[in-house]
Amino acid sequence: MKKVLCLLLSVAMVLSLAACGGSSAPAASTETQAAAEAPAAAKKDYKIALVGGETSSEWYMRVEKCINDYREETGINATFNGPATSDPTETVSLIKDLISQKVDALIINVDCQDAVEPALKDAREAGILVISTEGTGMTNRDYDVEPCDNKYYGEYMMQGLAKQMGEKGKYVVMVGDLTSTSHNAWADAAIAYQKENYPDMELIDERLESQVNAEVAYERAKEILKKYPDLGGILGCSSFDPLGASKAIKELGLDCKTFGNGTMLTDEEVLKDGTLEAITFWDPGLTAKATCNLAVMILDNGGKGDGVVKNGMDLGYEGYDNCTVDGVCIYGNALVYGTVDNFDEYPF
Amino acid sequence: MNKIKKLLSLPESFCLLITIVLFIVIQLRSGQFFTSNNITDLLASYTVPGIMAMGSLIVFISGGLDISFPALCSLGGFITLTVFKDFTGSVIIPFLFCSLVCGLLGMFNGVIIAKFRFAPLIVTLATEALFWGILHGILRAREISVLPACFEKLQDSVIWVATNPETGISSQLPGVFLIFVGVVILSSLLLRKTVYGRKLFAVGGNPSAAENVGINVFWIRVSAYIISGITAGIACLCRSMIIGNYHPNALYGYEYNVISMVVLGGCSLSGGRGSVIGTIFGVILIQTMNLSLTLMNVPTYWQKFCTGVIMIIGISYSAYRTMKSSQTLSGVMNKTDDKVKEVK
Repeated sequence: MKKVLCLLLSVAMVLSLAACGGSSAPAASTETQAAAEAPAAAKKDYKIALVGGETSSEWYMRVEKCINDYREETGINATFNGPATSDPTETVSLIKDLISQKVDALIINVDCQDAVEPALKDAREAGILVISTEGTGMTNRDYDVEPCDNKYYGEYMMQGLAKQMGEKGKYVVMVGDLTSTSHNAWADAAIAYQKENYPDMELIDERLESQVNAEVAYERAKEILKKYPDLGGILGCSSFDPLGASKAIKELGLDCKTFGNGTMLTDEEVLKDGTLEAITFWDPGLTAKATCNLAVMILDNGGKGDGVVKNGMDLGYEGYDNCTVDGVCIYGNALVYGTVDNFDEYPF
Repeated sequence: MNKIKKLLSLPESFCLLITIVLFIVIQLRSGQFFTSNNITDLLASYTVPGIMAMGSLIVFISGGLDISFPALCSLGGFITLTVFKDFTGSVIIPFLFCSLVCGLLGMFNGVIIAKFRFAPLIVTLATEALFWGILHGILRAREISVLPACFEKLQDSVIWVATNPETGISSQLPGVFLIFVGVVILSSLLLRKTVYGRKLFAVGGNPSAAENVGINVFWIRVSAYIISGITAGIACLCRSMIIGNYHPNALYGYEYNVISMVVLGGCSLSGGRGSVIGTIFGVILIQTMNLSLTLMNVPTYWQKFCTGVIMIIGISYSAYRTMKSSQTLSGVMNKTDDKVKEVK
């Protein structure tokens, strides 16, 4: 009996793992359908797999939805694959699975970038085209597509914060993770921009870490506000920072502004009750679609980007129609200023 | 003098001692510890881990271990928030429903462990994966940023508002703090004043002896997991209300935090020993430390390091005390053996 139950438990564990990877399983069946429907476009019969972050976040759900739309619109066999949690090992094994499935192109849009590098090296050695998005610091990839460059994003956030703060006062920067390449690049650019353009603003030199969690962001914001009650602004780089910080400001009854990276659904309540004035973000689904187009363009060109990737290139979507190329990085210009007025346009 | 010595030898007192030292250090470094608003913030932050720690404590006392509770309550919480999406009645009903769901999930854990005598670590590791799997794979859980209307009243309720006269900052103690107080009082009564509580200690201390005196060891064990499930479920709803947002992964990894609080509070990992008051000290110590490092000017990079050091000191001290007390115990037993021999 004990053995039977042991077996049952392990089966349950395996099943739950399978359930976690559930997003890729149904996609596989539609894959074959799409391929069957478009036999004429034999040239376009590419397998493109996008690896994203945790499937429970609205952000990656948006990516998943747009990838599914892309597959329907174009007939190109593109799939979304994401781990159930932010555990890097899960993402790595996902990539290895995709390598053994012999996809033509891998698009990588993950937070745990260092952890996936070795797996990406294997992928490239297996002849797979690897394109990263939101990963300028990565090395094992052929190209990288960004909604905008990190410097521009940081400057954009600083402009927004400075406008709300009246270009004066103390401010502090919060990042999701002290090891996050993108968050820290934005923060650095924002700070550099402030030093150059807003002399009346003063940086409190402590980089707070919210662990990409609203509760932690809230606690950290409360602490820093206690230490500096005259703080005028909090710049949030992770998408949970503005929510946590504005909750803290509201509770403490202070006049401090928050601006930064957010998403409409996460910040719905605070945007609608006026605690948070605005957030900024890009549409990750649009980035994903544009990146798929890039992959197709390169694959059409025999897997080589030479001649295809150039300044002013058009990836076929708004904000990505006139891209800047710097080395292997391709930058669009696709930022959104989200307020309560354009809330309904971005349902993620 | 002997009384003081005895008091100091309790595992709880050590935890209290470090806590007091920590308070003083924070006060000296920041000058802001003993302000009404800071204390209010800290009290509010004890709510979620505190409620969970009570359930964990009861499982530990019964000789078990539960690491699945964050997954369990994220699942139970998601189901509750989804079912009561448009519900406008009393807030008690979703709480009861969540307790029921989480209690059943806890019972699932308990029955497997108690019936087949599997190692609780392995079973709850498996069920943890199972619960996360159901939550993400089958239910496709997503973030809920606007809670059901029935929660609104409790969510907005405030016990008191403390304002710091110097800085003008005000902090609120949310109404859900009372739930924490209630859970603590109930756990304390349960463990100290009821027959059931004594049975829990008996089963955790020596299961075969407990069986011999006619205690239903199976049900006592199962009930401990049910209680752990219920407290975790309540904590999950409280957390959602405090921050106004439910995220399926928000409690991921929370078990380590809670277990270390319980162990620091002098609870024995092998069962049969532990107290509510010690656990509360553990909660206060770890949570205060987590939340005061910025106040103390500890750079973010070093905060995890500091947490680790204090935990090593605390846990090794409790382990040392346990070792010492078991040595004295075996010493006493040896002496009794000698006496028996003498009599013979």
